[in-house]
Amino acid sequence: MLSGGQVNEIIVEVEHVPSGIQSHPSSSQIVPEKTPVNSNSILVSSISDSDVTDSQIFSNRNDKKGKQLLQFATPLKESFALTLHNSENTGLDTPHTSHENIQGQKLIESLITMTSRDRIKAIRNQPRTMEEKRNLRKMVDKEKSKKSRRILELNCCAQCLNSISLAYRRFKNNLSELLNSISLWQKTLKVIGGKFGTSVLSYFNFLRWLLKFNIFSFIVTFSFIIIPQLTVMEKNHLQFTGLEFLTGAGYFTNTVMYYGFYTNSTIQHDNSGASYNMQLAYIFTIGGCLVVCFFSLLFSMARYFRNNFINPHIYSRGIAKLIFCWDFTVTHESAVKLKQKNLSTEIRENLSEILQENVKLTFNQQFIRFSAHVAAWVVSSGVAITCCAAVYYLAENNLQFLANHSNPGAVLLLPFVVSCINLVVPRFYSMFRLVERYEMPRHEVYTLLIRNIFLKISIIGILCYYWLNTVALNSEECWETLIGQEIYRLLLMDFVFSLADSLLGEFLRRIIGMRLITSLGLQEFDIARNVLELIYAQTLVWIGTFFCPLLPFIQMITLFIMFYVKNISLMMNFQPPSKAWRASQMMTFFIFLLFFPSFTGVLCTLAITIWRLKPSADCGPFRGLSFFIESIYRWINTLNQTPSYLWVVWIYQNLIGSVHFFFILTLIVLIITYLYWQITEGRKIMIRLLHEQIINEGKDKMFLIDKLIKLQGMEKRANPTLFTLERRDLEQWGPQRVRQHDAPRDLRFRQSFQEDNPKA
Amino acid sequence: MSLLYHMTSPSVLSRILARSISLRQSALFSKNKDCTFFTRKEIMRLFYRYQDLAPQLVPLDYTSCPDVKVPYELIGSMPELKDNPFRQRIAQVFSEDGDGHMTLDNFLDMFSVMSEMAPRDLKAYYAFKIYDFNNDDYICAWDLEQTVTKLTRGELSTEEVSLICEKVLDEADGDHDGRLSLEDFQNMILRAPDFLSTFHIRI
Repeated sequence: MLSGGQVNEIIVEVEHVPSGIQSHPSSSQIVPEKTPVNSNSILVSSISDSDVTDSQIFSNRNDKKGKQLLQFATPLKESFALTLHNSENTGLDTPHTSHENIQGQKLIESLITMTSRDRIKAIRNQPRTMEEKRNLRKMVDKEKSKKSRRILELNCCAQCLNSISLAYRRFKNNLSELLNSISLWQKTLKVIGGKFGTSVLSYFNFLRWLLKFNIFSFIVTFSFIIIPQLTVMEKNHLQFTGLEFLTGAGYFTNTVMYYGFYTNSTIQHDNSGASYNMQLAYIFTIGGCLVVCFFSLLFSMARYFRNNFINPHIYSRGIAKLIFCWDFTVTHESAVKLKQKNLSTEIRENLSEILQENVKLTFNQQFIRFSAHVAAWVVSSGVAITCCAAVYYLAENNLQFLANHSNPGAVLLLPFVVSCINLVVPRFYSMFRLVERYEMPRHEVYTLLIRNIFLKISIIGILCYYWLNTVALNSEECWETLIGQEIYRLLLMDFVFSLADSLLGEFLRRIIGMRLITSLGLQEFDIARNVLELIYAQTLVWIGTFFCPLLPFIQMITLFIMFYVKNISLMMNFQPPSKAWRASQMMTFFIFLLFFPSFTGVLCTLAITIWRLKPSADCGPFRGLSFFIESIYRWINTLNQTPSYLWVVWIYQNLIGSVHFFFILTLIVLIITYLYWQITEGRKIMIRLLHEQIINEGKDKMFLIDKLIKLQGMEKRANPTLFTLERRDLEQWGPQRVRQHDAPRDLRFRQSFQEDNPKA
Repeated sequence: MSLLYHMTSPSVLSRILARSISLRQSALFSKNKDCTFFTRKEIMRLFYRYQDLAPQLVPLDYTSCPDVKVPYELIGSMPELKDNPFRQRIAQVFSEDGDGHMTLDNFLDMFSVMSEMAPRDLKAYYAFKIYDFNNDDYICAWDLEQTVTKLTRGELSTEEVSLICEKVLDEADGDHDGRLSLEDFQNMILRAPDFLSTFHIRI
């Protein structure tokens, strides 16, 4: 039953429900811990106070993000204790308004102490109506101006900082307005979301996000590499035939498209003194692009992880989520009806799963399942390895094959084979679904994703190995341009195949589903497969930007066209998804996939290129050097000569080039990681204990309510007339005494509510 | 002048008129800007949407009568809301008197909370109020039954509905008092990362 300490706590809580005069010395200490439960009881007591109390509850939320809210939550908690202790509540015949006034006063005071940005954020996040927020802001501003009048002179520095921060804020506002106005495809996305829901929308959002990467890369490479090169362009003597668009070779070899065209000299015009070192510009631009992509990916990933990471041990079956996470973005009538039907089906399935949860599988069934999984994994890995071997074999014999067949289109064989593999094998993997059975549907999705990404990354890995080991070392001509051309062809073939699949394949599938085999029906948009294709293409672009600086531009155009093609195909050939697809969790996983095998692989490849490979001797910005990185070494050496840039040399030698610095840095990072990990473990234990405490308090509450009902029942039976007299007396007593006796009346209210509840 | 009048359609003319009034209005919108998650331009666009719902009721010069209310029937017929099973509850929660008739402030408030920039806690708070059909600050079994019925449009039988309500209370009720408080609801939303993206109306 209840331990002694717990009984004390609960008794305090019951009496603490809005009683004006508190004489328990321990109550003020208990108030901060008890406030979450406190606010519950306050809810019950004053329904008319719903606005105020709701905001209290909200402000007492332990918001991880909103430290600002916590900041003014604590004064609010104290203020509430103060108002309770304060027996001079004037005008308590309208307790509601004076309560609110004092609450508002404390809130305003806490808002004044914040910076204006935090203040705006805090006011915006308040669950109040617009008018209340405006009044709040007005009052805060008034108080603030009153206070600032008292300050005789502001420090000159503070004034400066103030005006700077104001200008910065205005600039940021204007920038965000501008960015919002040029936001791409807003209406189209709304229509897609309206018909198909958030899950399909996530694919198109991902596409738009990748487009932003490419736009940024293109702008940077265009401004810093392509334009300077265009100013010193040499004449192109090659013939232009139409085949160049497919092969990337021929006329295009001697254009800004490929690495080989770029000069290694320092561009200088009219001896104006301003010189432009092409070598440094090339390496720094590509490096800068990659660094910005890296940080952008990292921050996105971190943000998604923070918002969407579920603690695995409190994962629930999810029927509550089905009920409360209705997709409000769906706006078409037919889509809504379909969604409602699908939801009913899914709820029924979920219910039957729950009812059958206790059915344990026999050993035989478990063994069969396990062996099915093992077999599926073996087959899928075998297929992936076979494909990689085939690609490698083909790549190795490519040169010989090209020598034998003089058709200029023969170079397209390797990309064609790779694209075929990428088209057929993922669909083959999807068929494993018929054989394998999973306990949780999300395991199925994850397994499929891992198999597909393994296939795609292996193919890219094999090709990189081939390029860096064979092409780079054995080639007499410009091997960088050759690699650039290969990547261009791969991308183009992938694009052509995607177009064909969307325009023809899906159309055919619809015809088959609607006319021939009507039991199949319309297909559903396979989000995982499409997103993986985007990731594959983006990996190729990142690798290829070094060898073919125009590649981001090409990918930009590709993504643009793909958006419209996929959109049209979606509207014509697909039906909305029938099962709930955990869009945010999946997005986290996709961005993680984009970061971990994809981007880190790109960094490895480029690092090997820059540090280990010898640039070709007669083309490109790095001709003549023994390593790409030598350009940086030479630059540092020249900087060593000039005395005004010695700090750059110092940074290079002691921070970037020094092993000790990285060792110390790694050690510090490891220590911090270990500390955070321990803190997380501690918090998990805390969460579990608090959870148990909530359950216990709920049980105690029910126990006390039962007891109270019994007592009241006995009292009622004993003294029926006295009972009514007491109530009339209560109303005549002074306002302060009313609070003391509010407690039993409120619990009576709670009891009557309980009685009403089963009726409703 | 008359040529101009004939060339421009009435709606364009009203827009031109609106721009001349907009100086005063832009002061109004700047005041509102910091109270919502929208930029000033979006607030203006939302005002035009609001005005389009009831052009006779809502004057272009909003500053002249800022307390005009658009009745619920017109709000509920907006394309973003007309097929939403909870449109009545949404309008009731955000309206001033809980009857579904909304002023411009309520309108802006509603779309501000339902926009993608509102934080999770704010959305969870309003979602709780929407699902609380009897406005008693708890989601009890009756509220759940109403929610499920609205969601499934009568596809499920009454036994299934009550079974679902039981299961939901089992899963989400932390303090085992037979109904969901705001804390229980917020706790459950924490475990549903999709909530932020699904509780979102694009306008």
